[in-house]
Amino acid sequence: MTKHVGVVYFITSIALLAVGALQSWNIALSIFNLCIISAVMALGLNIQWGYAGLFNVGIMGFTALGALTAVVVSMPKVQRAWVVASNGLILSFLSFIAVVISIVLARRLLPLTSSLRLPVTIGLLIAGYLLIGNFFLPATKQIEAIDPVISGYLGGMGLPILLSWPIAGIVTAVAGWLIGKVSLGLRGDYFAIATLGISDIIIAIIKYEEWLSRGVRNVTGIPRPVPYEIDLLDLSWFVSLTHFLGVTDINNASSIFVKLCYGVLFFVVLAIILWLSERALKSPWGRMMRAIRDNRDAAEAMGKDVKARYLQVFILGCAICGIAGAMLATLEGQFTPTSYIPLRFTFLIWVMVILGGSGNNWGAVLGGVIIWFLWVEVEPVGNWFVSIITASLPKTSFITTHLIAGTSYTRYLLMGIILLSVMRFAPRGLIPER
Amino acid sequence: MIKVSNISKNFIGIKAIDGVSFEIDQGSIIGLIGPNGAGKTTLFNIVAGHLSPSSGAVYLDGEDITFLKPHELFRKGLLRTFQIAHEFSSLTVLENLMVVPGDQFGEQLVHTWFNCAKVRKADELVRKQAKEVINFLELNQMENELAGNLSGGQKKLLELGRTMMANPKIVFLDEIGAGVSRRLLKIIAGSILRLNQQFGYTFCLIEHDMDFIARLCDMVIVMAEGRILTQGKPNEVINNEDVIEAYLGTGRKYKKVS
Repeated sequence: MTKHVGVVYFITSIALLAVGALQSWNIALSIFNLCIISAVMALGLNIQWGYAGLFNVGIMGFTALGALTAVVVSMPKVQRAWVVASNGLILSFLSFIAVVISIVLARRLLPLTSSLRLPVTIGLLIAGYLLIGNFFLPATKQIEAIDPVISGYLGGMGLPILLSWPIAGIVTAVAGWLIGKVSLGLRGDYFAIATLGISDIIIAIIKYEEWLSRGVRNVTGIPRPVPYEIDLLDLSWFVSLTHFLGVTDINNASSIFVKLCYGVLFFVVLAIILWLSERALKSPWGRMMRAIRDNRDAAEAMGKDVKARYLQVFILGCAICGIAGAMLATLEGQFTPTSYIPLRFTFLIWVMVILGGSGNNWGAVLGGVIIWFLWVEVEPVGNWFVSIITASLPKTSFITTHLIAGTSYTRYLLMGIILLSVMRFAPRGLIPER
Repeated sequence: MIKVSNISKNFIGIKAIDGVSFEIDQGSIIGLIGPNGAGKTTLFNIVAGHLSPSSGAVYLDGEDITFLKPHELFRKGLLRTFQIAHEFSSLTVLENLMVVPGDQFGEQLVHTWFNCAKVRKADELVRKQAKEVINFLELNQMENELAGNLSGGQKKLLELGRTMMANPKIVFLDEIGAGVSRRLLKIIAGSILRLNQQFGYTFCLIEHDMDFIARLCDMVIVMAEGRILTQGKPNEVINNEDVIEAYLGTGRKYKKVS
């Protein structure tokens, strides 16, 4: 069993090294970095699906929330926006609190049997909505009006970007708690539909609340935890290092060095999360979660508080996906809400977990690495294949143009084929649970 | 110790249980029999917290437990097994048993991360207890088999074993003997008797096998169409004309079922 795991990991690393040797080390490293982030996401999903059997198809939403957190934590504050809009924001925040308190109070004061409870609550909600909107909408308008081309939002807190990773975990955990509270009452596929919808709601909010996230105009230039390539060239120790290693192309070396730094950071995060989840899985806690997954009713009858455990495991998984989202925003250096699509951030992660072996952390990590690798590498490999096949044909022939046009879609085809063949031939994944 | 007081349960359009009351004394083995659709399992589900009754109440040692959830009842020492075996299929037999004890130290995530030694120590004790139960049930050869691979009868035995891991006060067994071979049935019956006599477990069991009932039970409650038909000593009940009619139907009393 452990030998088998070693072999599969070995083959995967060979594939990455082959890309480095044949294409370029730059590409290999950037694939590697995203592989690690994917592996973290797969771990998050594995905790929910593999341990507890929670059918979460809303991973995209939590990842985007994590990325947004990275923006809010690390971007510099837009001073003018705060000056213009702080009064409105504070007033709307205060009125929000007032509304919440008044609703809670009203529901406390009115007896449970009173027929006024529902109408009063709804009335207060509507009044509260109007009141908050009264302060909030003008304030956000003002914020969005400031230099819409380069800012037009509140900016962030200007804290170090690395700090945003744990904060993203906490923010998505809170969101997961809220969403779990609402939707975990549903079972199985109903829960899945709820998460699917909620994740789209999250994306929609991020896209349209421009005062917070700049929406579809994207946030670029997120600060980096590692040096910029161009700055490296001026550092004497780096230059002497390249001399020492005998590297001639110093530009390339600096970009590889930066990617390596990212890789190390991501790898540390992955290692910590993997260690924690492995510890948890191999403990009485993990045994209890697997029991709940196998038979919810029996677990309940055997004294396990299934609802509370579902909520716990849902929060954990969401937090991990959020951390991965923050890492992704850090790596890309930008936040583009439109790039968060379910295919890339939900479906693909599911394929990773299913291919790797749900319920097995090593499997999830492996699935993350393999699937991301294929997702990126299928196109160049396909192009290479096509060029071999069509070598003897004229460049303008129908077959050549058709094949070349098709290569960029191979990845979708391939994902489907992988999913189907895994389901058919290895339904428990490459590294099964046991 | 258990007092069921005037329980009714309406599903939409159907009155599954209609004003059922009975009491179970400490240390007794009660049989609950009746034809299919009599409401026996529904009654179990209500007592064990899986369903809420439409009216009525359930008391355990004088305390109202009507609306408690299954996991809360577990803490109070009230356990149940299921008509269709509810094993944890991807866990081994040993793990199935080790899951059961409540409030295990290693069930707290923080402890699994930062207090590994103590978790392991606590788990050793649980493992020891589980092995004793496996010995008791003569499942030794199956110890490391996945529960999903067990036969139907062995799964039932495993369910009985799970209840033993919790030191319960009262156990509700839902057709523990259904679909079980004679040999295994003997083991199950023997285990129930020993648990009752040695450890003082109280049992309430749904069963269709009259020999099984006659051998184990101190008292039998007969249900039909959501009501209690009669109750009494096994021999009296089995020969009761009403009971025979309810089971077999003579076409006299139960002709008009609407």
